[in-house]
Formats: sequence, structure tokens, C-alpha cells
Amino acid sequence: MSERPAFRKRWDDVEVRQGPLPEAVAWGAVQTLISGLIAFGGPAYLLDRWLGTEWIVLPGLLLGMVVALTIIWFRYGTDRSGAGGPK
Amino acid sequence: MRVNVVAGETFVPPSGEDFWQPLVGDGAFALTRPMVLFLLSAVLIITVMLLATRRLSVVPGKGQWILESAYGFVRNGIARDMIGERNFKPFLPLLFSAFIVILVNNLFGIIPVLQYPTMSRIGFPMALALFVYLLYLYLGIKRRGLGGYFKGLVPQGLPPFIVPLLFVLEIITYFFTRPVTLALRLFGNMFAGHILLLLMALAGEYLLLHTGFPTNVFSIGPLVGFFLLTAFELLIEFLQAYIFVLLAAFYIADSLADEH
Repeated sequence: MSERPAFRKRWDDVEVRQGPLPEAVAWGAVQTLISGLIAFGGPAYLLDRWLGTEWIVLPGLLLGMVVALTIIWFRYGTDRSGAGGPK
Repeated sequence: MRVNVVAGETFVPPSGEDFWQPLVGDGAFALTRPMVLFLLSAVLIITVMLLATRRLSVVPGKGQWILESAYGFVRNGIARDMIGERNFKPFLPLLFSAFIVILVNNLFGIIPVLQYPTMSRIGFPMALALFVYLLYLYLGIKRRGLGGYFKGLVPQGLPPFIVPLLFVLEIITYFFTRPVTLALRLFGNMFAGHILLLLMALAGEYLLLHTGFPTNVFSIGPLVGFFLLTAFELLIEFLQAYIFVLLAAFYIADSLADEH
């Protein structure tokens, strides 16, 4: 097993990319959008069923979208490499 | 001209029930075809890995080169880039095993005779996703403590009125959407792809053998589609193994990161 460091070296010579891969970021954003709809649309739907109404689910879904987009904008949409980013 | 559309039996399209294939016994404790295939994949992978790594050389032979490229891809292309040079090594065995197991089991879907993607039974992707789920929760809570973990879900520096809303959303993301989508994406792709292949094969067979002269000519459509979709499935099978491991590495990296 004396050759092993040679493999390590060959692999380690490949350059490291910086930050998460774009595919993972894209999937993360999609997940946040789905979570927004479930987190706020779901309870709104249940509230509608409980109260016998049918108008709460739409604002619930819209609120979920707004919150999801806010978090995507904050997490991925701003340049935080400099000093601080949005305060 | 009279077209003989239905000769004999009617066409039965494939359904989810075609995926339930018990070999021994029945009910909850039956030994099923995907179970046997999963065992086969384990034996196959262990044998190939042991044989190929028994005599390692600095200038790799063909077998060693193929394994090394697969390993190098997971190591450098996924784990090191996602988790970072300092921390990625403890997670390599998990990520590489997951990649190889998913890939081999997916490839079973288009290998003749085996022809069954193990991951099209929801239990298998669920077990894999559960492992990743518990791991990233454990890592995150170990690093920051239970309170710190929940505090770290919401990024710092947001206006206070929106923080509770984001907190609710992030709880759903971390505890529900992530594990569920991880399992469902793999399951759904394998299940849908295989049912499409099954539909093409059954439709082609039915049109060719069970209908009269003018209609059996049209069996060429589903049969050609069957071959094209098989090639497409090959792509999907690689892609899904990659995506699963990529996201597993992403979640682990997220739990190890200092801040979001």
C-alpha cells in the first residue's frame, strides 16, 4: 500500500471549485418554493376546511410564495462576498 | 376497407401493480424481486470493488481506471467541491457507496433479464433518504446545539417582522421537503421511466401479435420508441444517482457551514 499517496496526489491536483455547485443551488431554490406553498398554503387549506370557507387558501399560497421568494432572494440573489451584504 | 382493430383480447396498459412481484411468499414479509436485485447489487459491488482494488498500481489498468474515474468524480466533482477541502473526507465512504448502489440498481432497469429498477419501489429510496436525513440533522445539531441549530435556520440581518415567517418555512424545508423530495425524486424518475418502457413494449407486442394486417404495421412506432426510451433511461439513471449524491453532499455541507 505504499503507492497510495500517489493516488491521493493525483486526485488532489484537480482544482477545487468555489462554493456550492449551481445544480445544488437550483434544487435548493426549488425546495424552498415547494416548502413555501406547503408551509403556508397547507395550514390555510386546513383552516378553510375547518371553517367551511374557501377564500383563505389563496392568500395562504400567495404568502408562502412571497416568503419563499424573499428567502431565495436573500440567500442566493445578493452578493455577500463583500462587507456584510444587506443589513 | 375493414380494419381489424381488436382481435382476441383487449389491450391492458401497465399499472403500478406490475411492480409488485413477490418471488417467495406473499404479503408484508414476501421476498420480492427488488429485494433479490438489491442483494445482487450488493454482492456485485463488493466483489468488483475487492477484486479491482486488490492490486492497485500507480499506472492504472483498465478496470482500475474505470473505478478510479467513478471514485474521482464523486470525490472531486461532488464531495470536495460541495463540502470543502477541510471536511469532506469522513463523508466520502457514504457518498461513494450511495452513488454506486443507486447507479447499479438504476442500471438494473435496462439490463435484460434483471430489468427492474430497484428504486421504483418507494421503500428503497426512502431508506437511503432517511439515512441522509438523520445524518445531516445529527451533524447540524452536534455542531451548534439544539437551540443554535434552530436559530441558525434563519439568516441573520433580516427585518424582525419577517423572521417568524421564514422560520416556519425553513422548518418545513429542513424537516419535511428535503427528505421527502430526496426520496420521491429518485422513486418517481425510476418508476415513471420504467412504466413508460413497459407501455412501449406491451403496446408494440400487442399491436404486432394481437391485431390484424393493417394495424400491426403501426407496432413499429412503440417498438422504435422502446429503444429510444431505453437509451434515454440510461441517461436518467446516471443523472438520478448524481443528483441524489449531489444533494446529500449539499445538505451535509449546509449542516457543517458556519452560517447560512
